[in-house]
Amino acid sequence: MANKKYKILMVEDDPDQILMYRTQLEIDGFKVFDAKKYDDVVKILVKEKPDMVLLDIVLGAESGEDILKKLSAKHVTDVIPVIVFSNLKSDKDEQKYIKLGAREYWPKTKFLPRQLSDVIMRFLK
Amino acid sequence: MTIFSLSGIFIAITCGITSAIVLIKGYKKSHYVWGIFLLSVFVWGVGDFFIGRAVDETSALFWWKFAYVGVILIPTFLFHFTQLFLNKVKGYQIAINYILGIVLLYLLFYSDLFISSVKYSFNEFFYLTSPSLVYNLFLIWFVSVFLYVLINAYLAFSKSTGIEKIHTKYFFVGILISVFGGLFDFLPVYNYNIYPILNFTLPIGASIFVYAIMRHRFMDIRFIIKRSIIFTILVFVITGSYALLTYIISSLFQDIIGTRSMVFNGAITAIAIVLSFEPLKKLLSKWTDSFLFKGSYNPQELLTEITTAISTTLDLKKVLNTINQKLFNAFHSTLFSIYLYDDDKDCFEEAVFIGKRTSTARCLTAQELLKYQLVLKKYSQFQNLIVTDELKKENETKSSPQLVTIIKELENNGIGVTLPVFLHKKPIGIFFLGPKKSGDYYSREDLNVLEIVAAQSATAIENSSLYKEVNDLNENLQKKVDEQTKDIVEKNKKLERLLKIKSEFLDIASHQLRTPVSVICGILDMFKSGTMDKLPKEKQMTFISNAFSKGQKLNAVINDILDASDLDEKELDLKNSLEDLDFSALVNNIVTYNQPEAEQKKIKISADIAKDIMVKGDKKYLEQAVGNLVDNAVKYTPENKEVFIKLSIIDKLAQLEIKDSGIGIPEKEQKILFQKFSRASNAKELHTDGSGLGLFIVKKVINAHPGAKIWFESKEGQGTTFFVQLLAI
Repeated sequence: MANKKYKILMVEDDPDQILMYRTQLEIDGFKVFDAKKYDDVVKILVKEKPDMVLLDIVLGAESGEDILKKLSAKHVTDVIPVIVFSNLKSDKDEQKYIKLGAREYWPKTKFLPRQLSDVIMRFLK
Repeated sequence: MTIFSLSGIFIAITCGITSAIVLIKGYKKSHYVWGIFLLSVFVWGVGDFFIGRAVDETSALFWWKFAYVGVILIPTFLFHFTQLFLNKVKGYQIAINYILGIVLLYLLFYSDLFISSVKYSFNEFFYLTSPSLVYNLFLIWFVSVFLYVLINAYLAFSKSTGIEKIHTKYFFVGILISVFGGLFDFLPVYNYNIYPILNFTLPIGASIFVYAIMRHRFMDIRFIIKRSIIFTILVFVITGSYALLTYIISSLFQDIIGTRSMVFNGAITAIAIVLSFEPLKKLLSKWTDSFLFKGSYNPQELLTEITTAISTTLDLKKVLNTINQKLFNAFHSTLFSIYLYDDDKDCFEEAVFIGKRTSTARCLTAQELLKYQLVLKKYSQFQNLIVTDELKKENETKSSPQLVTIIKELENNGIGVTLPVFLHKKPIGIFFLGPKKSGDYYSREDLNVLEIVAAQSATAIENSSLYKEVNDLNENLQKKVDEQTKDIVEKNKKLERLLKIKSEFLDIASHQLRTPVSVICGILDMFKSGTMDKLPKEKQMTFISNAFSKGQKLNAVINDILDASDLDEKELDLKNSLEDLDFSALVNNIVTYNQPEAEQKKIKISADIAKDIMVKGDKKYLEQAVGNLVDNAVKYTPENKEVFIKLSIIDKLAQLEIKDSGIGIPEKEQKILFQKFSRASNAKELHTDGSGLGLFIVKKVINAHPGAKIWFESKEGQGTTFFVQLLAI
């Protein structure tokens, strides 16, 4: 496993998914934080300085897209890679999010939890 | 030659011609009697001519007796004719007159009791001597007959109307003028030596009759002098005038400059001819034209006007109105109308009408026209037109019931002339003219003009009809194209909207389907790959339960989609599944079911549900519908707010109100709220996992219940209240 414990922030509102991804990623040596709202995201960013943000788009009160815009506006995306990690998938969307400041777009169905951890590792290295 | 002889020639020529016209063109008894009467005057005229030239007493006496054959027959035939003309035939009176005539003729030739000798008068010719007793009696008879004729003619004139009045007028005036002049012939016999110069009134009387025949078809005799003959006469008159001029000039200058005057005189005449021929010809032909051929219109001008007018427009209405107006004004007829063939109705329909209407317009069928045409072929002298008066005349000689019916029909409709318009031998219309207001007949010239107008109109009518058809077609086509373009644009918009909704749905649906699938697969893979082995048993169970709940969610989403698709394909039919339902209980259960989620969101559900409200309904579908509504209310109400549910009876209806304090529905989206896949824009932001199918299903279910309805009241930002009404039992 990695010498350094990478910190991953998952922005997700479905507790089932948080549990599943967190379990796999922690087993694989990552430190996982989660948040549902922009305010919480900012708090964790400031406090934990994660190495990567996995951002879901379909959220409750606030959409992932809005959060991305705000982070981009504050140039957070320049410092911390934000990956859009969602089931909402179309080519059109992918381009849109990249333009908004996301580093990459990963469809949830494309990766099983352990594959996700491999991809994150490869990306961060 | 004596003036008396000259008057005799004039009388003989004019009365002879008139007599010939009447005898040749006449076709009934009155005509023949009239003809013989004129012949009597002719005999008198011939006699007068020779009396004036007689050189001795014997020959003079012979010609006087010859002339008196005519003079005796004049009252005889005039009396007979007058009774025939005025329809007052009294056989015995006529017989007495004939007997008197015969007796006098006998006395004339076989005795000296009537005329016995002559005397030289006026230093010119031999005139009759003093009258005998018989002569006096003859004169009394003669004068009586004329008085009888004039008085009766005047009475008939004052009583009659229309064309009859005109005819009796000419008759009265003609006889009066002739008699007035003729009576002067008797004066010298009684030694009142006034030269019988007024004999010239007789040719005037005869001319009046000829004029009356030509212009007004006096006595229904149709006689028209050809224009070419009139022209020939004109040339004679003009040439005669020049001859006279030459004669006067030569006799004037012969004394002054001798024989050389021939040259001089020729030169003057030539100049006179050159200068005056054309204007003189024009003047005379204009004069004869307006007297003999037509009334107040000029055929050439009329035809030119009509042709110009109808050839400069393609507007059918204008073409018809022009023809109508021009002909109506030219002939001064009581009415004028044009009927045109209507393809759709398969008959001739009135297109324009002007004048006095005597019957209501109706569509004439082709059969009727055919009937007319058959009559036309059989009876009319004209190729293409029917003159009602002519048919009447025909009917007098060759009476036929068919003809009587047609005449009656024409008269009832006030029609004087019927003029079918043919194009390529096919009838395309009919002109109807009423009789002339003046009571005059239509002259040959009039009818010729009408035939020409009809022929020219045919092409113009056809052209403008075609133009109208093409125009109408164009307009219709344009209209259709516009309509269809509009339709296509609308359909396109609708399709665009549907496509947008569909694409949004696909996005949502794919997300809704993928999310549980990714979780289920992820968890199963963690088991498969051994990741789960590193976890305690309880945690593994949590994963299994999560995967199971995701499976259920997946199932619910799929069901929603299938339900909507099902409901979309056919109208929901609940007739067989309706049952008596405790609606109160149903609503209560749903409230209870939604309570946990509400509590989780710190939302208070307050319910005011009346007990034991029974409705006719389908339990499964109603649970789904009410469930969707309550679920929505909770979903779209923010934390710490309230959802209020009320069930009550209003006017025998069970009314359910579900009021949330949520985001409300934007006004412009309220209309499409119940449509499939339709989601309010603010709802999408709040709850991204809605399928847009819930309210569509609710509406379908409620509408499938008899007498039920659903509606809502909403204000953006303040919340929405859904109302459901069902028939209570």
